[in-house]
Amino acid sequence: MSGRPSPLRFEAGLQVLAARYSFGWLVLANAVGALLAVLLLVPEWGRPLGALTYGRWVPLHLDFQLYGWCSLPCVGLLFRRYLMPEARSLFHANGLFALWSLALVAGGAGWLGGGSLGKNFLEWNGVPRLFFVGVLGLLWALLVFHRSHPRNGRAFHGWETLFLALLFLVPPALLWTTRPDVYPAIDPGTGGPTGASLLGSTLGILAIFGVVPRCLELARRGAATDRAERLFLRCYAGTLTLFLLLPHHDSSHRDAVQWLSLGTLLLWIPVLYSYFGAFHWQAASALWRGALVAWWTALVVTGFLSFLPGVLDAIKFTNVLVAHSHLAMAGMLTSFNFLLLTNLDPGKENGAAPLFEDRIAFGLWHGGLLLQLAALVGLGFQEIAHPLAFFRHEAPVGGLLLLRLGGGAAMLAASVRWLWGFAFLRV
Amino acid sequence: MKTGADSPSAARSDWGVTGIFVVAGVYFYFLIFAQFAFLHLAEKGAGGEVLRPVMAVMGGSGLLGSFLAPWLLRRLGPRRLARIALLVCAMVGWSATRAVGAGLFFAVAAGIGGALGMLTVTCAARLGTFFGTKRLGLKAGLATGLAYGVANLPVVFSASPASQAWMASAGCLVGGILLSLSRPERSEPASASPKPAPFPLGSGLAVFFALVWLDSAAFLVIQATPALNRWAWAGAIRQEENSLIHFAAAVLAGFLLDRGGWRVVVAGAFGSLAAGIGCLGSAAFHPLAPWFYAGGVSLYSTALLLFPSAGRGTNDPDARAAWTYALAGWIASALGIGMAQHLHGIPGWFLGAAGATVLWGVTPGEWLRRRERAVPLFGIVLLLALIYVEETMQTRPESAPEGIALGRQVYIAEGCMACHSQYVRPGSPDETLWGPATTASAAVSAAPPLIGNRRQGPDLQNIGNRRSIFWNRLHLEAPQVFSPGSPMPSYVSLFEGDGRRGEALLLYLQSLGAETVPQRREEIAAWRPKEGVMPVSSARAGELFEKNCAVCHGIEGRGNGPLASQVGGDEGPRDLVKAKWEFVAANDRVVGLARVVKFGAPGTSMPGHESFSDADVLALAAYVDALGAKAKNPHSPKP
Repeated sequence: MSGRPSPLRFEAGLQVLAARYSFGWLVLANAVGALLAVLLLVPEWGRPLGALTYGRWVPLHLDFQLYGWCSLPCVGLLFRRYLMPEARSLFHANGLFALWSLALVAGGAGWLGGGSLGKNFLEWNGVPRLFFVGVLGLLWALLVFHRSHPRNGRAFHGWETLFLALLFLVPPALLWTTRPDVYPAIDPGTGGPTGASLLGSTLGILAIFGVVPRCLELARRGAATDRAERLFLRCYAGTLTLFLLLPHHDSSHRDAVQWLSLGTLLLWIPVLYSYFGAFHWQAASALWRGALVAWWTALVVTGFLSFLPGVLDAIKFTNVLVAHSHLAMAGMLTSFNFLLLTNLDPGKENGAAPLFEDRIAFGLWHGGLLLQLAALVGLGFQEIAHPLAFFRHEAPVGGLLLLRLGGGAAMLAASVRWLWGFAFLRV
Repeated sequence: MKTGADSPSAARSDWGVTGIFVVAGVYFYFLIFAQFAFLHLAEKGAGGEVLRPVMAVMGGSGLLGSFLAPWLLRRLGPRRLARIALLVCAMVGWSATRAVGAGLFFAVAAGIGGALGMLTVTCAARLGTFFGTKRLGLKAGLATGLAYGVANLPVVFSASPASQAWMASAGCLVGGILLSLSRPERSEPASASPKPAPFPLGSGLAVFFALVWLDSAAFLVIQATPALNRWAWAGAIRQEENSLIHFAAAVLAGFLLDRGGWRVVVAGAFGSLAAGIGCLGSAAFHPLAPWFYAGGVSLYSTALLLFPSAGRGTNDPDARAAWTYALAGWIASALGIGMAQHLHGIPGWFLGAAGATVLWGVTPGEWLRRRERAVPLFGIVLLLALIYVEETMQTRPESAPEGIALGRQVYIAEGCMACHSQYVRPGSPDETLWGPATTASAAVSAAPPLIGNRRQGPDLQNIGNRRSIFWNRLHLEAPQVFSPGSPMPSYVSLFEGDGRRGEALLLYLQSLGAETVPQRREEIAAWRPKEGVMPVSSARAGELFEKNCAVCHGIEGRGNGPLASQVGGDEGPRDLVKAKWEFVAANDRVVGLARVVKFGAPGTSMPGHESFSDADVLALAAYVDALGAKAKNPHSPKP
């Protein structure tokens, strides 16, 4: 028998596509992160880069992680739910992934060229900004087109249509938030976000967590799933009501209402654990589901503790908070992304399952991340105790930066290993 | 156990006069007392600072009352529950006029919220008990119009808060007595339904949520703005007009709702509210604003009263009423008030979003389904229009920025905020290091704010009061010369060519905190090393001097270091050997010198060494002080 292999089912092909683009951006973002770690450790090695100094590379690291690695698995999830399950849809998905990536490349080139807006994670400016907003609009139009196509035999619930309608708000929201004069309420005590803002953004993440099992059409565990869903919804309604009723103007973390309301997120540790446990996930994702629950617990507990009066006063602007961000992105969100990608396809014919279960890469990633966290916390405490030694990289700052670079290198290696695996899978 | 009066066979007469008065009494109590007179009484009796928590308690207990109502309705029946809640309303209304101190006002607020929550749900869920079975819309309109109309009559509107509390309490008491005295006719059912609303519960909730939010925000803006307040409510004629418009609009709404005109009423309410808000924006149209506002409020209030009973099929009106009044009543009100307090206005985008919600709610589903395929195209066109508006709205300078403005752009372009914050946290060690402290409003006053969120180097909020332009230039070109070991890269490329960008960056840095020099001087003068701190060894002080000071002052402190000719403008670095230290008090010489070492001399090129420890600066001060003595007596011990 010869000839071309038969095309993969839609879900299997989509899984490979989404993973390929996502890992591609993870590798790029990690490579920039490693470069930043090198520039901090040995600044003179940056001379060959000329005007492309440390500050110009930082937006690339942050935004490639956010708009690349952390976003594209969710785009894959939207495709999985709304696109018609046929070969032509893979062509559409590929085109959209490519356009999205092109916008991110344009953004990266702009930031490197000094075209940043000056707002962390919202650096979009000039033509790349409009390009990216346009891509978001195209994504929405593509989803609606497939959702309403007569050939799409899937049944959609009312909430899925409402969700799609709400997605239309994303491009205008990005357009609005990337205006220079738009800035959220701040904590006058630190210049950072208020407790209400942090609660609101976590609610956004929880909303995504909430819809994932249904979007993936995971098998349910009978009455236990119903109970877990009801619990999730009630807790969400309660937390959302609390968020809506909180004062949303500038408020200090020393205001008890702010830190107490953030403390309600502690409730979400067992709730999320029971919610995720109420569905049948792909066996290949067991490792990452465990990691997600562990990182989520660590994130919520450290997030609450680090917002407490006295604690936040000490660690604000230091690497301890940078460690918290790494815990969120490289720990919790990365585990979630793996959970998503692994469960995009219920079958095994595309050969992706062993790559998701790769224990060497899993170990490299988590070992590297733990090293990074330890180094960042050490650097933060050094900065709190001896700012001069920190600013001038006196001992032990150099050693800690080296440790951080080592951790970053291990994580880069893991991401290259994943990308390499998916690069050779057919779609 | 149900009473005879509450049994299904015991319903109100179709005239429903008593019911109209009872429902009007509830609305009147809410309008004139709960959201108006009570807040004045609380402010007067317990101070302005309790208003927010008091409102929060009222809102919270209102939510609780709303959700408890269905359960209580099943156990007590609507008439008994209404009588109890009316009595509670009357009692807490009277108590408010006697209350003194925050504690009592919190208790009264809880009573008002809880009782009103139960009453509104009871009235809306069991319309048959109050209005009978026919012309429910018209009766709801009469009740709503009566409440708004009376509340806006000059004699009521202009009365003192205490008198208004008495009137509201009396209204509830009379309502309760009337309800107790009235006997329902046996031949009619207790439950009754108006013409069904053409939108499901979710859509209806979203629509009323948007309308109440909009109304609350508009009310607060008008109330808090003296010019608008005058146009809206000042003078007997204006109040009588308001009264009449409220009544007419509510009755009209009821008439239309009896004929199934839900879409007309809801869309009309939004259109009227939006027109009223639009009129607020222009002084020429201010006189029209109250008419539109009053009309819109009465239209939707009548529909809101009817909506819980207007579900199709097996919908449970008790649960519908609880959700409607909890979400669209209490929470949307709180959000409207919060938005108006925070933003001091109603943003255009919010008005647009509310309009889109109402439009979506009132658009027939079938109509939408037929046009589903056109939605992506419509969305793209809408987005392109938004992008066009966004691009044309942005104000762009006519010429390329120069000076400080260009310097700020360079700061952003080079990503300086990746390593440097611009926020000196009040009450933190930042103040000593880089003070004076920043205020939140100052931090966000420039677009975009450059607060930053991490540091690899010092905060730059007040760099202009700590470093001279000469120092900054040298530091940008070769950072490690002044800060050995610093990871900061060289920005010498900014000064190449015409050097415009580099010069602009220097100007920008110099402008940061330049106005705070006097304040910084005061802070420096007040600084003393921590009690009990001992200086580090003189050998360590020598190392520090060689590493940090010799580059300008020279290894022997004679002001002849390698960079001496490039810093300090006309004066250059001081000769520490000959220095007389005339600005340092003789009896506090070492501490005075330590201040100079730590904070430099604002206004000169002498930089501070803010992140040095107290032990380091004390040792350096002693070292510098000893330089003169050493020169006079070369055989003296090494400083």
